[in-house]
Amino acid sequence: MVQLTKYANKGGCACKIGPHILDQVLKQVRSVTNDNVMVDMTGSDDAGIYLINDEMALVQTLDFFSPIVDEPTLFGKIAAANSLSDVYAMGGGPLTAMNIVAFPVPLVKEGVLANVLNGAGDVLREAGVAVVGGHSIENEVPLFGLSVTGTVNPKGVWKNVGAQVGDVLVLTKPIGTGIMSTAMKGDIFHQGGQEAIESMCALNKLACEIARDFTIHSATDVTGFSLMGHGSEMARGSDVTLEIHAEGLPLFTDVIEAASMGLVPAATYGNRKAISGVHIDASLEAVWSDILFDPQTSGGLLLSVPESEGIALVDALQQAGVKAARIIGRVVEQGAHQIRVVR
Amino acid sequence: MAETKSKLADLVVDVRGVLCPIPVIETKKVADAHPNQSIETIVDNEVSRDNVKKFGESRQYMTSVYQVGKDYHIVLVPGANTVHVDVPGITGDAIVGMTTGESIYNMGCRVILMTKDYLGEGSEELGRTLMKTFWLCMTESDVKPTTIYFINSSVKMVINDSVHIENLKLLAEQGVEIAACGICLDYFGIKEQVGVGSITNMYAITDAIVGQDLVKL
Repeated sequence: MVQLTKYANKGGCACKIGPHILDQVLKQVRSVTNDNVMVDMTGSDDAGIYLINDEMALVQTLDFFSPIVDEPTLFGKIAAANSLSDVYAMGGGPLTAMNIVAFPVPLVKEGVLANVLNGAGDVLREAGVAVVGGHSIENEVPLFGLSVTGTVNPKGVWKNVGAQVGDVLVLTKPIGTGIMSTAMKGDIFHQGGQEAIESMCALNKLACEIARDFTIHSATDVTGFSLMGHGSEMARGSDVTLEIHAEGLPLFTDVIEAASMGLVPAATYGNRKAISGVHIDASLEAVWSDILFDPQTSGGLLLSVPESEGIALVDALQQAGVKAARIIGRVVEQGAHQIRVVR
Repeated sequence: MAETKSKLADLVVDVRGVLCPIPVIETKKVADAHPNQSIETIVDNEVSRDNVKKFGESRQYMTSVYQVGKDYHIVLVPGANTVHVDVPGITGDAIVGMTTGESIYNMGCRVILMTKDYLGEGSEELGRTLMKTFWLCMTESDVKPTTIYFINSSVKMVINDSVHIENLKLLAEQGVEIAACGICLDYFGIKEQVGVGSITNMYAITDAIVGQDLVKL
């Protein structure tokens, strides 16, 4: 069988260009915008939003990456769930998708690409999204992803800013896809690896739909820049500090053990270098840093909700089947750091 | 994996040219098969270096890291707490120390005494430019000095807004001891602004001058 990950030296969201490098580039780029743009890349948000009328705004996003798993169908599923996630993270609903394909011709001939596209199709069907086209080029490293278009009520847009002091933070998926993908390449920690695969294939659709009935002050999905990266963007934009309880985080089985023995993806080191403003309590073992900065692929939603609604939201999520959902911390007055991680 | 003869350990895992997580996995295979033997894993990137080091520590090996050229050699010694060994240099005249859990680069045996904030004589202006290049080259050098002492006007190089601070910090991270003369810092009124290393006294510096292989610059 084709081992897709052998074609890539970095998998999934771990293959992002580091945020510090990207920031430097974006500083040199002049913006192209108009009055109907509600959200663009200036706020490091998950998707762009364009106002159509008072009831409807367009949500647009795209995402693609190199293989994170060996099995082509699974790669397609994960890529699709990951691409759709940005729409859900804005509180919206996806409608259409287009495939983005860069693939080595031999793999196309072997039928690998068809399997990738069918895997993605399974997840898109589940999301109620139609595939309306795509574009493909020949490339040495296989890359796949999707451009997704959806809609959102302009009054119900969730941004990654707006978290308020007194909110609690709810995370809807376990942390550790980067560590577990690394462990899978070494063919160890199978149980945690299987959990990570299922989690990466799972849509954030349900979590989004349930959370719409609550007061969401701020939301983002946790992906390549890690819980610390996406959390600190939320904190910085909201002028608050996030206090996160490390030992309350949902984790895949054996994540701590796998990280302790050095199954840490290269992007974790990049994240740690690029993301400032994180203080980890000295009483926490060093391994927590590798978990907190672990790049997530198709990670969960991080939601900031009033404390009075936090437990009800988690209950509703868990009852609907978002089993990993839990309160992982709270929003406090802005301090010296964007994120304070406590035991 | 290629067999390479090791001076440092019973077994060698040469995983240069492959990426994370293979170095950890290959080291683990050897460790599982030979639990009581020491292992030397050779890698060519920092992520693999740090990951193999984590693996060693998680298995309670005494774990040491050496830099040889562009490669890193991570040596895992089982039952570590009872062992303390001095290993002959792995390149040229280098002397290598071993400690538990701490990165040790390929440390030479020289101590450097900096006496002014420019390099050489003849033109101070040229000397200041040369100094920048000097620190840069040292950060990239295969063999590092063990300690650099700063006296007189050279202490100006260790303060926060010095143009040399980043290179000196890097050297400190690489295991080079950086120590500036306290009296000298006081004289220039910059003791509060020290940005790298420690503050030392003339006893330590005198000991180095008379007792060690010292280069004065």
